[in-house]
Amino acid sequence: MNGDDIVSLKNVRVYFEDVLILEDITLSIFRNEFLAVVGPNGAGKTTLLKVMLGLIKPDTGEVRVFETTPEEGRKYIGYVPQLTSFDPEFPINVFDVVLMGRYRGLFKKYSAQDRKAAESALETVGMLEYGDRQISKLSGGQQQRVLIARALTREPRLLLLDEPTAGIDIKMEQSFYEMLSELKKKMTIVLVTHDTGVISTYVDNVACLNRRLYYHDSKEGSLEKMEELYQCPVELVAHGHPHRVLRTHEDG
Amino acid sequence: MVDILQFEFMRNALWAALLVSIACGIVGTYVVVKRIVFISGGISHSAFGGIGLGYLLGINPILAAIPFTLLSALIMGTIAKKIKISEDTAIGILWTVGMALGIIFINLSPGYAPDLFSYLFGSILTVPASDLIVMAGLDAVIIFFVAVFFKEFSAMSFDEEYSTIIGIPTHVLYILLLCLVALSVVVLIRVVGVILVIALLTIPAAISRFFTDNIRNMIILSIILGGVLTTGGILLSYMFNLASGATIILLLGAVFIIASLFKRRKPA
Repeated sequence: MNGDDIVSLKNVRVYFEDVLILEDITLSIFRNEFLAVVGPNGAGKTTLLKVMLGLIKPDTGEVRVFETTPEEGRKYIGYVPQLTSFDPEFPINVFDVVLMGRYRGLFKKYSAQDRKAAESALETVGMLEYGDRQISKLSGGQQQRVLIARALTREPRLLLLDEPTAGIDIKMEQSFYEMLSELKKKMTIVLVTHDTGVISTYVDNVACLNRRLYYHDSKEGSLEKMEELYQCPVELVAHGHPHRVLRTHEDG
Repeated sequence: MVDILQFEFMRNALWAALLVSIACGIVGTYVVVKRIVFISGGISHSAFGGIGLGYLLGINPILAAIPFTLLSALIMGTIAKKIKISEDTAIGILWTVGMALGIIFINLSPGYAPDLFSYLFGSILTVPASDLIVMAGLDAVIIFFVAVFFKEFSAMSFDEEYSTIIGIPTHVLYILLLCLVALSVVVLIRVVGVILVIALLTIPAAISRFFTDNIRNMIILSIILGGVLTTGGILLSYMFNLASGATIILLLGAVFIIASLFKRRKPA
């Protein structure tokens, strides 16, 4: 691995029960990259993120995160799970959800500094005024921002987002991506989604996942693969804003 | 009303109500928010095995129930991860095996098993002072662990996977939480019996949830509700000469229904 890879997967295979979920995944994520991993439902996208986080151990292959094991390296990762990962009816308000991100270990209380960090993270995502709200009394897009704030309180070097645009309308999506491109100045971002429409101008690279990974440096290169994976023309899949998908990135 | 306090059994019953409210308010809140009602039901029913063991060995069944319920909590917390069966299947097996063991133990015990009915359905009016001491001790243990691990328990109840990522030892703490459920079950057995225990671990917390979005307030409100309604149930059962455990639970159920109707009228 060279110094610029912050995550590297080599020939990673994951089985669940006897079903092959990820097959021979080799992937390098570079510092300050904004990578989108696209694939249909059931392609193994969430599993891929969980492998990086050390929540799922691959059956074969090697995973390095910040030049160490995923369990060690995940302290530099901000994870934004799917909205379905928590119980929305749980008696907790937005501020306390975000404060949870500042957890530092057993017997350690949250300090004034932790509270300040939670507040500033809420401010970053534009949710400071909702601090007192119970989490289910927010829209999907707002909940998503709260989970991002929770991840940001850990001052991550890598932000992993699982289906962050699910339940967000097109207008919200625009401002959501603007927020991510601000965050990109400070950290690496990996986003997984089944929605090819999200591959906006903000993304540097696109990888296609459907059990196997097809990694590309340019958006155009991945387009054919996407057609292959989805078994239908991408213009149809990305209905609404195909122009974003088709645009070639300068770095490509 | 004051004169019934002259009876020692009634004073003991009120102490028992107070001790019960602490266990059901604190642990019940986690049972409800973490949605471990079924596993808690399993632990409470398997406690009957411990009661039976107490009869067989000739020791206080409540004391015998402590290690027995702890063991069943440990097994329930680990079995589904070790063997490839779903957790609810494991619960269903342990639930019934625990009860069956209790029945066999009592079969094997010499002579007649006095008070057996009170362990099954509760009998708060016959709680001896010695059991109150055991209950108070178990409450102290519960308060201690929840005070120490409050933020961990709350975080992992909200989002277990994220809690693991931020370094909370969720698996160990989950088993600890089940052990606290086991201890609460022992606290509650005398009052409502193994069969009805789960009502006290769910209903006060479920009512409280209607009125607060804060877990700390939910615990406090559940303790108050548990204390008031258990005491109310004792008085009703005394006045109408009804089984105390069942009366307490019917009162809890009635208040739950009223509270849910009241809640529905309020805008969300």
